[in-house]
Amino acid sequence: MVIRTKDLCKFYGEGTNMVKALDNVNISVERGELIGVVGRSGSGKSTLLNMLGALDRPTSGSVEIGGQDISKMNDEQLTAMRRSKIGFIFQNYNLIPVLNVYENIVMPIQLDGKKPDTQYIRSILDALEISHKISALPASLSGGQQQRVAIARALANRPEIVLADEPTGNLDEAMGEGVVNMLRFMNREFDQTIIVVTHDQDVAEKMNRNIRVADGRVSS
Amino acid sequence: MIRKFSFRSLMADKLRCFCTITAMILTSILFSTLFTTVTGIEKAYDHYNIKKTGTDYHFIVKDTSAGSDDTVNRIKENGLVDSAGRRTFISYAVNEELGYNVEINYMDEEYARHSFYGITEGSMPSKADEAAIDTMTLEALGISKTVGAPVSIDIDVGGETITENFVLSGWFSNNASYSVKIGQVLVSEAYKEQWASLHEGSDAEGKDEIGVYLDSAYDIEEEAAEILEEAGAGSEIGNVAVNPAYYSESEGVSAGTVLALAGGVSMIILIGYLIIHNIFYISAKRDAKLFGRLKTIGMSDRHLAQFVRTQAYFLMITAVPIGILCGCFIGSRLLPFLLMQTSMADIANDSISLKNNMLGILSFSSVFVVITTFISINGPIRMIKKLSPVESARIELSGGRSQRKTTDGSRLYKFAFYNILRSKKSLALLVVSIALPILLVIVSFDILCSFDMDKYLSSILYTDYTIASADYYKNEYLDFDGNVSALDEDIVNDIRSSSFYEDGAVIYGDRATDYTEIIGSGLLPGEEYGLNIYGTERAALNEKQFIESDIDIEAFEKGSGIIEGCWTDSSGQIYPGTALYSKGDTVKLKCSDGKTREYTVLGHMNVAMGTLTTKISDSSTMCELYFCPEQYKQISGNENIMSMEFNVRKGCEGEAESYMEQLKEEIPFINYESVYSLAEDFASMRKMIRMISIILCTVLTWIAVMNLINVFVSSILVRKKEIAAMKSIGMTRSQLRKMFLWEILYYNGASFILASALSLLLSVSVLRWFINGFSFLSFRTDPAVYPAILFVILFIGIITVIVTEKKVSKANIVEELKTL
Repeated sequence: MVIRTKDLCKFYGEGTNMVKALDNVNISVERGELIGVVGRSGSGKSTLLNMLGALDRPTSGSVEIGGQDISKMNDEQLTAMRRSKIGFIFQNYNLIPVLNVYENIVMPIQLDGKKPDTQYIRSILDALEISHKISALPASLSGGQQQRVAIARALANRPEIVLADEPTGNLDEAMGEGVVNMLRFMNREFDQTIIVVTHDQDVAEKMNRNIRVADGRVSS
Repeated sequence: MIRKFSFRSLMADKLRCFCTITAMILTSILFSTLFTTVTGIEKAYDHYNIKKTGTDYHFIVKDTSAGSDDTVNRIKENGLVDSAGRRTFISYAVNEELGYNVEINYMDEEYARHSFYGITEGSMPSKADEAAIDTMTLEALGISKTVGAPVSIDIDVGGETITENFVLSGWFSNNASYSVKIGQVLVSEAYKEQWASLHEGSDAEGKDEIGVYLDSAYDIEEEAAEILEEAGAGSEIGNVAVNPAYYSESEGVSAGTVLALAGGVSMIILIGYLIIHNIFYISAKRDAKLFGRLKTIGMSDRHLAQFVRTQAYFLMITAVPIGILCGCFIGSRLLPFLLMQTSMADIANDSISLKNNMLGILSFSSVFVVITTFISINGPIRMIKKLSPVESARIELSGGRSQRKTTDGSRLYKFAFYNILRSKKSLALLVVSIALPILLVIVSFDILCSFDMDKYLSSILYTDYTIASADYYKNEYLDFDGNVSALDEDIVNDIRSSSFYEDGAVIYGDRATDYTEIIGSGLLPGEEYGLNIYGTERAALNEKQFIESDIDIEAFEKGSGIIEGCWTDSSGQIYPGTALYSKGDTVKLKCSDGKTREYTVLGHMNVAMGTLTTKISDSSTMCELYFCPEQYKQISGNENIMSMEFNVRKGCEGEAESYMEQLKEEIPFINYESVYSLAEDFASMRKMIRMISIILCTVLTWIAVMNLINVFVSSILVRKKEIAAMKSIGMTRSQLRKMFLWEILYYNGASFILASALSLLLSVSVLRWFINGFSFLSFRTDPAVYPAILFVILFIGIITVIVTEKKVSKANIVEELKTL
């Protein structure tokens, strides 16, 4: 079991203004699964992804990653775990503007004090068709190129888990398909566990399993 | 609509609004504190100098026979006069318990107040048997501070002593700043009249004085003459004594000082401009996205400018009055504390009125902050006008470059370097705004290091000790009756025969206008002159004082030649009007013995320093002639010793000082100055300048720190989302801290290097020249200031990073990532 949640709740606000973003969610994710998280806007998909990625702490319940309860970890331990085990792909890329493409991609590795595997990085860049942009700064890239750099960054460290929040949201159809194929390839080739939040039915259909979230509850 | 929107937008982020207002309040506080303290110290210094002379009247009409109520009233009514008071000297109190001079005077309430004898408790004497006495004398006489307490005063009447019984009507503090220990018994007008009727026409009849306080001290002598003429007392013009404390006020300021002051003020204004500019520039940068969105919905540049200005008005209305009032309050509270640390401690608790200046301080501080703010907001407004809606949406990505061929940019030191280079304008502004305060701190420190006691002492005094009458040091070489206040020859002989005496010289001196005439003075008919003559032993002539380098001392000692005394300007040239003769001229004198003598003027010497001049100025044209002692004695027919200068044997300094102290104790009519007492004055002056420097440096450090914190914290807040992204991909808190530390190190390092380079440049050019121009400074610099400053800014930097990182770490990554 790579990820397991137990009675996971995340509430915002208090009293009558309380919003139950996640309400008693219990899910289990096995190693090497390719999962889609689907649901309407505001249903709690992204909140669930943030919980699974140890970006946020639950109101109650627990999240276990690799058998470790993240609620018992301090910030430093959580960061170290994210760096080594989890790769994030954000919808709005979140690239570092002062670093070039290559530096953005290898940043998590270098932060971990390791040397990047240049051959592996090169293969990701080639697969994502951004090899020619390694010296470019993010401001000079198009939205699609930036998204691909974000994906490359998430994969660069060969994490056990890749969490992607609407990774195709800002891409055209062809490019979106390329990204999904890349994720499937990574899942297949490196046995990485990949969880993709999406509202795109086509993307969801390409996942091995889908988790449906509605009003903060997991319905399937 | 814009106004409402602008206000709401400001209030939407209360923390940011609070921070901006606080920054502006602090800026206002810093500058108004500085202005208040500097003005206060300047006022206090004037007050101290005035108090040292015993009165704050601009001029006194001495020995006047016009002291009637009518004359005084007419003087008071003159438009040039603020107030006038009257004093009549009765005699001295000679009770056995009193080991010092105690004057008995009648003073009206005005005169007492202006002489710093304002009643603290009780009332001024009104009946003939009432007296008000200073607290020191009350204590010496063993009289309790009780209104109505009986007081018995022994009064000297022409050498005889009579005893008068009074009741105590009130008391007052002594003037501790007065250079001579002196007590005061104030009697009533009724007693004065009673005394006058008893002693009419005799020497014991009191002499009247009128003290006049003018509306302005622009030209005291001219105003005094005009006032007396108009009051019908024109004949008294010759008796006018201008308060010497006011002379210093009208002294010219050298061009160098003006330049230095202008430089200092410009730098402070520039620093103020930079800090306020930074506040608005950073605020506008943070709002860039909002402005971009507003442009997309149709807001014009003019609207946006109005938007920023409205926010600035609101901030100014809120922050400036609070800041300036707080600053004035802090400054006025700080002043007594500062004065306590100096030789002006005696006046620390005097209520030094800043009332007249307060309006100026408040207005100047307000105008300064307001104008600076208006100028400062133009930069941000220009920046907003240039923003395109699309650019503003991606403002955090804007870096100016499109490529960088490196592979290790995520190394923290490199990453931090790239971060600070994001906005080169902000970087330049910050570096300059931190570097300038550091530069001023270094300059202040250089000035402090440059205090040179030897230079100071050699510019004032040429021997270890000078001794003269107490009157001489107090005012001029005259006693109360107008006779020269000469030293007793026995005192001089005793000193000469003391074991500590190394060498020295006496200076004979007299006011010779009455008995010696200059034949063919070269003055226009009717033009009056005053003549002071001196007999100077060779040892009292110091070549440093000579204007001409080739004065024939042999001819001087032989008696055929004389030296004319003069004053010099700051460049060492004879001050116009202070010398009547040129070198080589012949002076013909009709002397006291009726004989006519001729002398050749050998040259001139500066008599402004030391104890070479009588300080008597009977006329606007004074002639000061220095002869050898024999010639002096022949011309004057007297042996009046004006002063004595002497050096002390090495190792006998303590013995000499205790001898002189005892001598002064035993003979209160003499006084002395020594290198030791001047060294104390020097130390006190140094202490005061150090205190001012500390305040200035504190203010400047605050400014630098505020700028640093403002820019640094803002640069982090702008990058909140980016930081959250870095944390999400694995940047730990310690890595974040290290990155911030590198950033602040770059900011501080660049500022420090710039400030150091500028200070070195200034040191080898202007500063050295400026500092050496002062009589008490010799340019010196202490390299220790550089590491000290570096240590301070690094320490502040580290604290800033720790606090900021802690704040950032509290933010929720998910929330930060969601921000637009």
